[in-house]
Amino acid sequence: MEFGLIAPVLLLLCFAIVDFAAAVRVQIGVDQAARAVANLIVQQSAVTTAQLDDFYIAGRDCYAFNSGTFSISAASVTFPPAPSGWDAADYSGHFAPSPGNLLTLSAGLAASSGGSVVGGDSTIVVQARSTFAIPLAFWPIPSSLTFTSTEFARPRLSFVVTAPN
Amino acid sequence: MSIIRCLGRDRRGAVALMTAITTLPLVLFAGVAIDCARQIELYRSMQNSADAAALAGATLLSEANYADDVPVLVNAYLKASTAGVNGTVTLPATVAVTADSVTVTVSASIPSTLLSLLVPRLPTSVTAVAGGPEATITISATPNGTNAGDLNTLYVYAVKPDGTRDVSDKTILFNNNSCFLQACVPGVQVFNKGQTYSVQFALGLGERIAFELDNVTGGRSSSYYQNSPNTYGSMPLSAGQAASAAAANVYYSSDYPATLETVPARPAAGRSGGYSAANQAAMVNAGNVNFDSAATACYVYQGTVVPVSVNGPPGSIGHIGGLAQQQNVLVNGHCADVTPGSSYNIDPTCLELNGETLNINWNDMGNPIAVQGSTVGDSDRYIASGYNTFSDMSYSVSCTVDPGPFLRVVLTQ
Repeated sequence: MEFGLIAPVLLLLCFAIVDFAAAVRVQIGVDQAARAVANLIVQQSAVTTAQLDDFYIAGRDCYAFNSGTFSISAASVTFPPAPSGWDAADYSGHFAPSPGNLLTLSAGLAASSGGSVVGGDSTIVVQARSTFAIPLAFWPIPSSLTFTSTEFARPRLSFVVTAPN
Repeated sequence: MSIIRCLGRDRRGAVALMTAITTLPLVLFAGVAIDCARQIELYRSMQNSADAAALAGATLLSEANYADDVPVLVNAYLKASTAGVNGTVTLPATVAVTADSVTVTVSASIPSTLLSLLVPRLPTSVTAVAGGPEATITISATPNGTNAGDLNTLYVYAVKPDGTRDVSDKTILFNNNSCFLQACVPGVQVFNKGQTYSVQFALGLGERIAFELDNVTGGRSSSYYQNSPNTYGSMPLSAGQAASAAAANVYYSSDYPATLETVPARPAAGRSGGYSAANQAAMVNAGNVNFDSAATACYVYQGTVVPVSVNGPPGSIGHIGGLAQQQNVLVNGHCADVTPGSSYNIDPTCLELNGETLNINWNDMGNPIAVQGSTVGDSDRYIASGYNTFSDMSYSVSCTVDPGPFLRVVLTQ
């Protein structure tokens, strides 16, 4: 009977460790996905629709979890005074629906850098998101967790990565 | 006594006792597992951010002389990319910028959970180094003309990010020597006017491109020959030319003003000046050098190199005139904003030359230009086939780097 009282606590401890490890793995996967897609984009001078699709597949493969949902959105934001670059909407047809705050995120980057170091400079913003179902979930462990990773990367071959037509 | 023995033999409540004893170690073990995982996650996340920031900084370094701006950019990227980190990031980060690398060191800490009994915070520190190996660029130069009697040899060399020139590994573009008159120099391209010559040149991160002109007065021969091997003609040297024959002058386009390394300098009296309106019109008509309609002339002074025009998007040459980012010095097709009486150094980056053709003219004496068919001026002119030049070496240059204008930057640590 005494062990019956203790067992839930011990099980909770064990499950929490297992679930936490799984969550860390998912977070790493989401980070890697965002980073991979960002690195692939910034090494281009221009991207095509087919390339974007391939990049998304590469990011999804980095994620490597079959359960839960997974989405990536990307944007290129050109800082003033140059004309605005393309934004998340350009990717909506290729990547999963955008979280919608990429422009806000990159605007923060522009502000923190004093606007723009180089006129017409740009940054690629990639955000990966996954809602992961916890494998051993019971109260107080939640049944699912949402992980988000945002990657900022500067284009390496041109000031701006030209968007697909 | 019997009660004590009885308690000693009693096995009930053992689990509670064992649990009480083992709870603390269990919690600590769980804390090690969880908090170490969190610390590793923090480290990995910080490393990602530092890598991206270092690459961004190195890319900026590769574009132009923006070394002072690199720490600002690096910290901006760090601030943005660590905004979601569940911990405290110490900013600004330490950013060390060298000629060819950017080193970013940033630290962060995260409050511990189950290990808080022992360690209140879990620190981490990451370092990322990004740099660029030497990239091979292609300099394409097209000579438009050269002084006839002088031996003019044009080289390309690198200017390091600190502004010092590295002429130890300069690469020759071409000269106006003639195999017909003198022994050919192995490996030296003897130019033909209008023909494009391309050379491969290794450029490091943050290095810029500059040109060296070696000018030997009367060095081509004992006679005065007009331009290009195709148009040989013979004129006797004047007394002044003969007196200064074989004087070697070396000019560097990255210096401000261009340096005259070896004297004797040619007398400048009566030689400085600009173009008259009539001469400008003649030049425009000749189709060689473009001027705007303003009365401002493009002056050529002794020992200077003057960029005459840029055929490409205006305002994209960022390091001409001694001022980084001095845009509008050159606008498309004319030199209206070149200040008369000033010397201009030329050391653009390959990126700045991307898609552009920069027309450059050298002059070692500061002669006013001669109108086609005129005898105004002196030997620093070239009159043939509708061309007028005012320089010892007149050429157009462009630059490409495969696969794009940026030098490749990579993480080196």
